[in-house]
Amino acid sequence: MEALVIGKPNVGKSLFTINFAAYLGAKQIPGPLSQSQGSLRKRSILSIDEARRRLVSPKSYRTLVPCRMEINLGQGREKKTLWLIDTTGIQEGVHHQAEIRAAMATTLAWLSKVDLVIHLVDATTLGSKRPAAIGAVDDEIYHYARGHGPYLLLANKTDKPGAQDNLPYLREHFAGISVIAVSALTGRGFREIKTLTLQYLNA
Amino acid sequence: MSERMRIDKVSVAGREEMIELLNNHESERPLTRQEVMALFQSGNLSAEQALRHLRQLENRPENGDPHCLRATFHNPESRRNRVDAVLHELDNLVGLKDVKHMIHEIRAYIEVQQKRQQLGLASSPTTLHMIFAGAPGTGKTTVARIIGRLFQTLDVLPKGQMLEVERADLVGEYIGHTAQKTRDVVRRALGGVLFVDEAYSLARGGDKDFGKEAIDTLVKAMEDQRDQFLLILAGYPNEMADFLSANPGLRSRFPIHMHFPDYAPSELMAIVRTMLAERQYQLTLEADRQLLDFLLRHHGQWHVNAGNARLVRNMMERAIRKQAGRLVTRLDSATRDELMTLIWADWEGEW
Ligand SMILES: Nc1nc2c(ncn2[C@@H]2O[C@H](COP(=O)(O)OP(=O)(O)OP(=O)(O)O)[C@@H](O)[C@H]2O)c(=O)[nH]1
Ligand SMILES: Nc1ncnc2c1ncn2[C@@H]1O[C@H](COP(=O)(O)OP(=O)(O)OP(=O)(O)O)[C@@H](O)[C@H]1O
Ligand SMILES: [Mg+2]
Ligand SMILES: [Mg+2]
Repeated sequence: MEALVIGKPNVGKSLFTINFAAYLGAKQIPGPLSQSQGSLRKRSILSIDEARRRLVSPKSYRTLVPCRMEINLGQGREKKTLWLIDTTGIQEGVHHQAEIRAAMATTLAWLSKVDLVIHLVDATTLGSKRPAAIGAVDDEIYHYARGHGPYLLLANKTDKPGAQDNLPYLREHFAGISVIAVSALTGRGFREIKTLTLQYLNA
Repeated sequence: MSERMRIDKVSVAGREEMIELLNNHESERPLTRQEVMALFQSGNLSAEQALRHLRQLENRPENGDPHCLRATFHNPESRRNRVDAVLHELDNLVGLKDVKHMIHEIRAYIEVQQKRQQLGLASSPTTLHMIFAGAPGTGKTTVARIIGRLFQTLDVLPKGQMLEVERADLVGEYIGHTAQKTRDVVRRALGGVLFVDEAYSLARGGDKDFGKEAIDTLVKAMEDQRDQFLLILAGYPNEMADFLSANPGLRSRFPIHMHFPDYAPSELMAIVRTMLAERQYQLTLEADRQLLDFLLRHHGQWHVNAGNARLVRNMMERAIRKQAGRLVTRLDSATRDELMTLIWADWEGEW
């Protein structure tokens, strides 16, 4: 089963994907592609700590190539593979760099192919002008995904001050589905997401 | 571990083709997935527009995805959201107050009839054929397309596509040809909206004219393929009125009559500003003021074109070309701002 982690730039997709993968038992994370050597492209393998250092950044558009993490769940005959996919953030409007538009297009192309959409929003940005602020792109992802199949909407960074106060507003705004409060940093909400993911995986 | 992911192969059309696609897609057909991706990558669609297009593509039941069938037919909440989304698009059109009001009423009427039917009460038909009266460029085509989608989300029409035709598409050259041609057009419109522009031109040639045959064939299809398509006859208000009074049998088959008034200059300005914003252009203050001034001065003077959104769209497209001509000789030094800005000199000239 493939699960796509999607959201606006800098909402914490990469940190969530890495820490959630670790929570589910992953020990290694595929790193960025190394420069092509001849025609052969090699991906480095990172430890969880290295991945946090190299793939997470306070700047937007840190992730330009989707990163697919393999996670093995269950045992024996019940064994199942979950692919967690970290993607490039989607920003409203038209980005002026073609490279970033192409990266976002990859995310959009994946949206219809995956089995589970995990949509992250930054719970601390209500009303702000920061790139991670909840906006039209979030509304569109929500409208798209809820009609499409399994869909989880996570309000991230709830460890930060003020985030908790924003939750009622978020729940009202994204009516009709449950908005799960999480923190990619502290692991809040991971248990619930795991339970739901396993349900989808076994369905 | 896995391979690097690859994007769908998008057939990246040439820039010209792309602009063409953007300008015309409204009037032709919905974009395909490949087109949405190509337009997004080339910077001609915003991320939120691209997502919206992709969602609409998915929501069409004929692509056979079981999820969207579920969403379309069994999930009342998702249906309400999609109905609201279509109505939202309608409400976002500039002006057209009465038209919007009437469409909201139609929605309520349809939902009530469907509920009555569910509960076994007597219900009236929900395929409501329509007459649109208004000058060219007053939004008739745009509204017809929205109505197609509205009726699709309300489960009145299975597909909701819109086919726009005129006399030449319906009338043939010899006896029997017309009925065949018209039937073919109806077949293509099944499941959606058939929009006949300047419908009265079908009745112009008198009794010997094949136009009459086209009308008869359409009327017959309305009986035989009841509830399978929605017919909208459109044209100038006076001509439509004459046409209907000369064909009293027709009038009773079209329960809905909508009038599309000419746009006021301020509405035309609002339309231009929206169209520019969609294309990522802006007006200088001077150009904004001059253009409004121009529209005010000419209001009521172009007899047929007054209040015409298509006219301002053509003006805008010419201005965009003129701006390109102005900048192309010094592209290296042109800033992002300059590339986005249309000055008044780009607009000036004869219309
Ligand atoms: N306090 C707190 N900070 C977080 C949390 N999640 C992410 N961050 C921080 O937010 C910033 C962005 O995190 P990333 O994981 O790189 O965000 P992203 O969504 O992958 O960003 P792009 O790949 O650039 O789109 C980093 O500085 C993270 O440390 C969280 O739950 N709590
Ligand atoms: N109310 C409106 N708000 C925003 N844009 C509009 C509005 N009405 C029309 N437009 C734009 O103006 C253009 C012309 O509109 P449209 O084709 O619907 O007119 P029409 O009445 O069908 O004209 P014709 O009779 O010439 O076919 C389209 O590009 C449409 O998007
Ligand atoms: Mg990232
Ligand atoms: Mg038209």
